[in-house]
Amino acid sequence: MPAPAVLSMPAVLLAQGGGHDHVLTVGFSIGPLVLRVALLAAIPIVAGFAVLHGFLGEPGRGLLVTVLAAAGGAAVLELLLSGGLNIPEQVVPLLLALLAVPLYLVLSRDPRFAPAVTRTRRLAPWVFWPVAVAAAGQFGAAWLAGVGAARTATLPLHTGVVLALVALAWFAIVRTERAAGTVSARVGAVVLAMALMGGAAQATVLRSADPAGSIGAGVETGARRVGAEGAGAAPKDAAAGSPVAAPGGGPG
Amino acid sequence: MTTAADTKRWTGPGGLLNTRYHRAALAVFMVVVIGHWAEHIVQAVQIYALHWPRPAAGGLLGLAFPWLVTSEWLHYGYAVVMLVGFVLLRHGFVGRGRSWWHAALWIQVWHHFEHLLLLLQAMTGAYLMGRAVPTSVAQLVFPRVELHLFYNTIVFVPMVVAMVHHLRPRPTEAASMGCSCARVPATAAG
Repeated sequence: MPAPAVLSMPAVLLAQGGGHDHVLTVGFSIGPLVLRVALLAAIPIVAGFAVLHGFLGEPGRGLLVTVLAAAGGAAVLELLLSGGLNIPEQVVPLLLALLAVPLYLVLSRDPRFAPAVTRTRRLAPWVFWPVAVAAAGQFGAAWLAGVGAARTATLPLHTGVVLALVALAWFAIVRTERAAGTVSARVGAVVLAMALMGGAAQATVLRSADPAGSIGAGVETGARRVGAEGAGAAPKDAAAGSPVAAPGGGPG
Repeated sequence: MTTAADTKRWTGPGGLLNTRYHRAALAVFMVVVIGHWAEHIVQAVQIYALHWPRPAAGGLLGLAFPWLVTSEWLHYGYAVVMLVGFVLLRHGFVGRGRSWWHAALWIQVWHHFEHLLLLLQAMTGAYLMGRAVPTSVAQLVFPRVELHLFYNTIVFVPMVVAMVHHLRPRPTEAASMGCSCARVPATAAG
């Protein structure tokens, strides 16, 4: 059994559905602020690339890797900070895979896979547009909602941000032969990049209290965490905002 | 005293770790991996055969040193050690062995990412998708599975296959090997 000294440290039980089935300790907690700062640093890299792409020359490998790494990192940070998305959880690994594929396509130098890489890059517009439309739909749902709680719900905003990151990651590797295809993709990416910036900023500003630092500050309702003050609220509300913290229940 | 000119580098293609000491390095790496496996298998026996409470099932070393099991830093550190081993020793492999070693490497990259994500969640209190506990990405799809054992298995299997191919290379593979791992001399192999 864990010693009392261990229990006094920030510790969470990974058993009962956890992966490693043991008490997990790190000894200290730094809180989610660093994640939020990293997110707000990564998103402008992706959005800036999308906006400036049409005005600059063909991007180099290093720049593409930077942009794609920023997109992947920002998406993971969103998953940590959002408190849930407007899509089934099972779709999340697929979105992460969609973020990893462009990075592989850019990094791959193995001649054995060169034909597959070329063919997959040709598919980029066919991934970019559907995901971009889905992201726009989420942003639209957030910004064109009615009044009251729906107006300040961050769930569609977070979902839109993640989808926009996926779409812009594929935009980064789009190579079209026709001018109309190139122009439309670039215009679409610019619009989506602006929405991404606005959505990420709004979701951050509208967030509720920081996530609780220990499981003692919240109770589990289904698979979601509901803070002590929000225990009476519907689970959907808890998922809609950022992870809810109990009063005084901040990390550390 | 050796100078920079007569000191061969240790890593990279042609480095000592991938040529003269490749066999020894692989042996050390394998001892670390099997030791880790042994701990997990003992832990599984304690849980499923002996029906010990999960927090009490600390394997062998975990019984004497509980922090070995409870520290996520240690788990993350082990994932990093594995990753470094895969990266450093990959240049010694050729042909089929290289393909399998790379497969194990990429799976370990993902395994490491999952551990990093768990560590990050434990450190920040921000949990994936609003879950109540630190959650790995795979748990979103496969809940309530022994993910750690699963991950170690899918890393271990291609790693072993790579080593078997490496120890028993085809003549063409043996000809391009820069280490002495092959049990059969390159000229007589096949």
